[in-house]
Amino acid sequence: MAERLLDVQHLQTHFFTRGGVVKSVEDVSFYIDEGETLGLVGESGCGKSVTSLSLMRLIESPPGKIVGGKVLFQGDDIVQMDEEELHKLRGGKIAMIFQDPMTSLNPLFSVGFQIAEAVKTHLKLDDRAATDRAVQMLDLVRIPEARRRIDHFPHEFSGGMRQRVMIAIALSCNPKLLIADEPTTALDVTIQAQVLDLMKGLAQEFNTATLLITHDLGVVAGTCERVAVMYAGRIVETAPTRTVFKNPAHPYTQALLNAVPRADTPRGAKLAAIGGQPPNLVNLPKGCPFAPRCRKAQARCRVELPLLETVGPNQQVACFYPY
Amino acid sequence: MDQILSNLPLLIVVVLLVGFLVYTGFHIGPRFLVRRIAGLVFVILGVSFVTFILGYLAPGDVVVNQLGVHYTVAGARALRHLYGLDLPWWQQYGNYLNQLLHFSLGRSWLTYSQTVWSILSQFVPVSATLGLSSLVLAAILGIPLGMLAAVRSNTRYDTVIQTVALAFYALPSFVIIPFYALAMVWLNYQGLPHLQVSGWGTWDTMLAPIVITAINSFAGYLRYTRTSVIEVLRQDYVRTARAKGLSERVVLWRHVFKNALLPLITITGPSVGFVVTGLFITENLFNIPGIGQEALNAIISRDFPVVQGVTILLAVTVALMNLVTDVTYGLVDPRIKVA
Repeated sequence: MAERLLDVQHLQTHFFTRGGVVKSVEDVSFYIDEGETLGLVGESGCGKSVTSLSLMRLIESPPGKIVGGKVLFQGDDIVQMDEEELHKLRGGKIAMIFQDPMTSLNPLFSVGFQIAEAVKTHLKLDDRAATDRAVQMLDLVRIPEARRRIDHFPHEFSGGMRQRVMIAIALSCNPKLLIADEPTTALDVTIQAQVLDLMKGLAQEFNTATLLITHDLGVVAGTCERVAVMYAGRIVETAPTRTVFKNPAHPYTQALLNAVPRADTPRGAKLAAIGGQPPNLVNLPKGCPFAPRCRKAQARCRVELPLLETVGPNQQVACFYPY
Repeated sequence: MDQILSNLPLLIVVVLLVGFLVYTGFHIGPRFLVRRIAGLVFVILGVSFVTFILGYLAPGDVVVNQLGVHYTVAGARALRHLYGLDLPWWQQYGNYLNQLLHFSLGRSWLTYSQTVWSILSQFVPVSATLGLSSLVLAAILGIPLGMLAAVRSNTRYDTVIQTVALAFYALPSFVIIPFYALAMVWLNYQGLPHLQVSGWGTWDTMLAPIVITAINSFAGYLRYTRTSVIEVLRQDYVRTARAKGLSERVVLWRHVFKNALLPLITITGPSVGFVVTGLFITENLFNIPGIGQEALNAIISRDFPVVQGVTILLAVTVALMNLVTDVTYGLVDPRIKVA
C-alpha cells in the first residue's frame, strides 16, 4: 500500500463579500496516496478551483479565507504553515497547472527563464545548471529544438505548447503532488488527448501524484484511478473510477453520467440535462444541497444533511438513499 | 553647428540623440528610422505652416508696437522691409522654410541682434532642468507609492495615499507658490532660515520650484501606477509566479512591475517632450529665466520668430520622444515588434 501523501479533512473556504459570505468550500475531505491520480469532478462553480487553490494557500485574501479543516501534506498541516514554509511548498513539493495556458505565462519573460526561475528557487542551482534543466524539461514535454526554444517568448508558442511549458515548469522541481486545474479545458480537442497523455506519462515517470480537476468525465475515465465528485462545496461521492462509472451511488453522480452524450445516442434525441440550478452558495438550503434537483429526494433530505458514509469497497457517498 | 559645439548641455543632448538613432538603426533597421525621420519633416512642415498662418492673421502689429511714440511712416516701412513683412504671405513663408533648410530659425524681431537659436539655447536648458528634475522626482515618489496603494488596495494605506495625492493634484501651482512665498517671507521676518523665492541657478532657488512642480505631477504617476498594478495583479501569470514559490518581493518587482511599466512609459514620453516649452506660471511666479517666460513675452510683443522657434522645437522633441517611446516599448515587451 502506497503512503498517504495528502489528506484533506473537512476543508472550509469562505469568501467574505458585500453580498454575504460565499461558502465556496463547505466540507471537503479526500486523500491522495503517493503516485496516485485522483479526479475531482463537478459542474462550474461547485468549488473545485477554490479547493485546489486552498491546498496551495493561494486564495486571494481578503476576501477569501480558509475557515476550517486541515490539509495534511506528508503529515504537516498546510493551513497552519507560515509564509516561509509555503514558499518551499509551492512549486517545490506541490506544483500547479492552470486552466488557461494563454494567460498563465508571463508575456515579458522567455519560457526558459520562467522554467529556470522555479528551478533556481527550489533546487538551488546556478544559472547554467538551471538553464540546462530548463532545456531538459522542454525536451521532456516534447517541444522540438528545446535548446533554441528556451529563448523564445510565450507568444511564440501555440496554446498546446504553452500548456506543455506549464507542465515543464510544474514538474521541473520534482514535486510530490501535481494539481492540474482543468488543464485541457481551453485546448483543442485534438490537443487535449496529447497533453493529458503527456501529463500522465511524466507524472508516472517522476512518481508524482496528481489531483486532476475537471468537469469532463471522459477525461477522468481515461486518466484517474479514483474520483471525488463535488457539489455545492461538498464532496458527495468518492470511489474508484471503475465503480463510479459502473455503479454510481449518489443521484448527482448518476445524473452527471447520464448527461454525457454517447456515440450511440440516436440522432435528434434530446440530450439529458440536470433540471434546475445549482444552489446559491450564500444561502445554502437546509438539508442536502442537491435535494431541490434530486429525483429521489424524500422529506428527510430537505431537513437533514447527509454526511459521507462508506457504502462499498473504497466507496463513500453522502446520501440517505444511494443507488 | 558651432552654436551646438559651444553649448555643453546641448552637446550632450545631441550625442545622446545620435547614439539613440544609431542604436535604433542597427537594432530595428534603417528603414524604420528613415520612415520616422521622413515623417518628422512633414510634422515640421505642418507645424510651421499653422503657426505662421496664425501669426500672420493674428491682430496686432509688431512694427507699431516697437516704434510706439517714435512711429513715422518711413520708419515703419523700413522696419517692415527689414523683417520681410512687406512681402506677400507665401513669400514670407517661403523665406522662413528656406531658413529652416539652412538650420536657422531666423532673428528675433524684438532684439534683432539675437538669433532665435541663441535665445532657445539660453532659456531652454533652464526650463529643461526644472522640468526633467521634477519629472524624475514625481516618478520616484509616485511609482513606489502607487505600487503600495495597489498592493494594499482598499485598505487604510490606500485611502490615505490616494487622498493625499488627490489633494496635491487639485492644488494648482498658482495657489501653492504664493503661499510658499508668503511663508518664506514670514520666516525671514522672524529671523529664521528661509529659502529664496525668486531666481534660478543655486540650490536654494531651484529646490522649491522643482518640488512644487513635482508635487503636481506626482499624483498622476501614483494613480496611473496604482491602476496599472491592480490590473496586472489580477493576471493569471501572477498566480503562476506565486504558485512557483517565488517570494512576494520577486513576484512584485519582477513579474508585476515590468508588466505595469508599459502605461507609465506612454505618459512619460510626451511629458519629456513638453519640458522644452517651460512652465508659464511657475517660471513667472518664481521669476525663473526659462523659455516659458520668454515665450509668453514673445507672444505678447508679437515676436513671431521666437514663437515659431519654440513651437517647432516642441514639435520636434515631442515627435522624437514618441519615437523613443515606441523603441522603448519594443525593449520592454517582446510581443511588440517595432517596424
